Amino acid sequence: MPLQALRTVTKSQNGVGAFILQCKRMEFHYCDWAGSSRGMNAFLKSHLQAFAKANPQVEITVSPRPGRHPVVRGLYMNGREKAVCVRNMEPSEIVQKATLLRNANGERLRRVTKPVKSVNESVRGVWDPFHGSQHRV
Amino acid sequence: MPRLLVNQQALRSAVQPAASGYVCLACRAQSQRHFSVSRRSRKEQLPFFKRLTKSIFGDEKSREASKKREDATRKRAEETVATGSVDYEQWVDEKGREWQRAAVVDPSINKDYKQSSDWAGLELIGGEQWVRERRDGGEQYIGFNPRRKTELTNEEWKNLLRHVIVEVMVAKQASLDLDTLTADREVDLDHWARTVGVTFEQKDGKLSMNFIKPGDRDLIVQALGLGVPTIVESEEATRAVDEAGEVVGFATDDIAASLEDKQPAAQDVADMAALDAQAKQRMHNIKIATQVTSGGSKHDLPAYAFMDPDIKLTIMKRVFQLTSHRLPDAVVSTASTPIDLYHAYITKPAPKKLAQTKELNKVKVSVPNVTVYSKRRTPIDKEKDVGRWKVIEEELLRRNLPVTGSRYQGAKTTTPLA
Repeated sequence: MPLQALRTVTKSQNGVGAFILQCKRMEFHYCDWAGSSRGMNAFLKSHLQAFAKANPQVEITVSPRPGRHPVVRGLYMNGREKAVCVRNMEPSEIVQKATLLRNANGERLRRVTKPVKSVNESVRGVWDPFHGSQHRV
Repeated sequence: MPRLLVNQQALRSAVQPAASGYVCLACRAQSQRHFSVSRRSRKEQLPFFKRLTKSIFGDEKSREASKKREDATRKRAEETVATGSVDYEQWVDEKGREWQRAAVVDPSINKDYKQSSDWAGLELIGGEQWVRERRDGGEQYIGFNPRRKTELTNEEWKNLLRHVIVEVMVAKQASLDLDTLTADREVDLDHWARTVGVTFEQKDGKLSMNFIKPGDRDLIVQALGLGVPTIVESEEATRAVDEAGEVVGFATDDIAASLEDKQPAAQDVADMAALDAQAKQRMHNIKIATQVTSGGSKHDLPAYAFMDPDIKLTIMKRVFQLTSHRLPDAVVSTASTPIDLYHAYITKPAPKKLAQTKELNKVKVSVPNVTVYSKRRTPIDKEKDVGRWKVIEEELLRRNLPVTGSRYQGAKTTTPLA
C-alpha cells in the first residue's frame, strides 16, 4: 500500500494572504471641565482627523464623559476591549497610546517565554527512538 | 456665660484704670450698654399652671377677639341673605386696595342656599394656572427685553444699529431725554425704513445725516413719541450739530473705516414656541424690520468716535431691549465707534462644549468613520444602537419592573405601581 499523506486542513493565519486589523472600534472619552482632559481635548481638535483618516477601517466615536478622566478604549474582533486612561497626557502621547491600541489584538497581555511562535512542529523532524544513533545497553 | 464674662471684662476695663491707661472704643461701648445676667424675675411671670391653661384654652383677650371675628362673619352671612346673591363682593381694605372676596354663606341662616354634594360645575380655586391668571391683576408681564436672544445676520445687525443710532442722534439734536427712547413702542416698518435709509457724511468737519425725504426727521421724532421738535428749519436742518457748531455726540476725526464681516451667516431665529404671544410678535416684527430695511445696508455705519458716553449706553440699551444681546464690560469700555459695537455684536461667543467647536464639527463632516456625540453615551444608548433596547424594555414592562431608575414614590414609570 503506498504511503498516504496525512489529511490536514489549512490553518488560516492572519497576514498570510490577507490581513484583517483586529481593532474594529475605538472610543475617545473626554471631559469639558476637568483639567486632566486638556491634552485629550487638544488631541481631538488637532490630531484626531489625521488619525481617523489613516485608519479608515476603524470605527471611531468621540463622546463626553463628564467628571471623569479621559480614556481611550479599543474594541477587538475577539470581543474583548482594552482601555487606557490618558489623564494629564500631551496630545503626542495620546497619539502613541491610540496607535498602541490600534496595533493590538484583543488577547490578554502575557509574558512571552518562547522566542519563536510557529504552527510547524519542527524543521528537521521530531525526534523518535527508532531513528538516529542507537544506544546499546 | 461667655457673653457675661466678656461684658464683665469690658466693665472692668472701663471702670478700673488699665496699666496702659487705654481702653478701646468697643470695650467702652460695651460697658455702657445695659445687660442683664439673670433670667426674668419669676414674680413677673404667671404660674406654670396658668400659663398652660392660657396656651390651651386662651385668655380673656383672645376669647374677645375670637368672638369679634365670629360676629363679623355672622354679620356678613346676614348681609348675604339680605342681598340674596352669593357672588363675589367688592371690598376695599384700609390701604384703599380693591379686592374681590367671596360672600360668606351660613346654611343655618340662609335657608335658600343649597350646598353642593360634588364639585361638578363649581369654580376651581387654586393651582399655578389660577394664580398666574390673577397675579398682577391678570396682566402678563413681558419684561424689558425678549426672553431669548434674537439671532440676526450681519446685514440685519447693520440695519438695527443704523436705526438705533439715527434715533439717538435725532433725539440728541432735539435736546430730549434719551431715556424716552427705551420706552415700549410698537415696531413701525415705515419708521424703520426712514431711519435705516439715513446716510452719514462728513462736511466741513461736521457729521451730518442725510434723510431720504426732507420731512423724515420730524416723522422720526413723532414716532419716538416725543412730539414735534422745536428746531427751526434751515438749510442745514439735517445736520446733527449743537449750538457751538460741533458734532453732537460724535467726534469729527477723519477716520476712514470699512466694515469687515468677521463672522459667517448667522443662525436662524431661536425657537419661539415657549414665549407668550405679545413678546413673540415683538421679536418677529424686529426681525422683519431688520430684513425689510435691507436697502440701507449698502451704506456703512458712521466711523466716528462717541463723544458722549450716554449716547453709547443708550444705543446699547435700545439694542438690548430689542434683541436681548448684552456686551461684556471690557468690550463696552474699549468700543469707541459704532463700528466697534457692530463687530462686538456680530462676534459669537466661544463655544463652551468641545463638541460644538469648529474643529470637531469639521471632523464630523469630513471623516466618515468618526462619530461625535455631544452628550454622554449611556448603556441605554448603546443598546439602542444595536437594536436590543426595545426587547429589553418590553421585557421589563412585562415583569412590571422600572424601565429606568428605581421604584421609589416619585419614579417615572410607564406602568402603574402594582
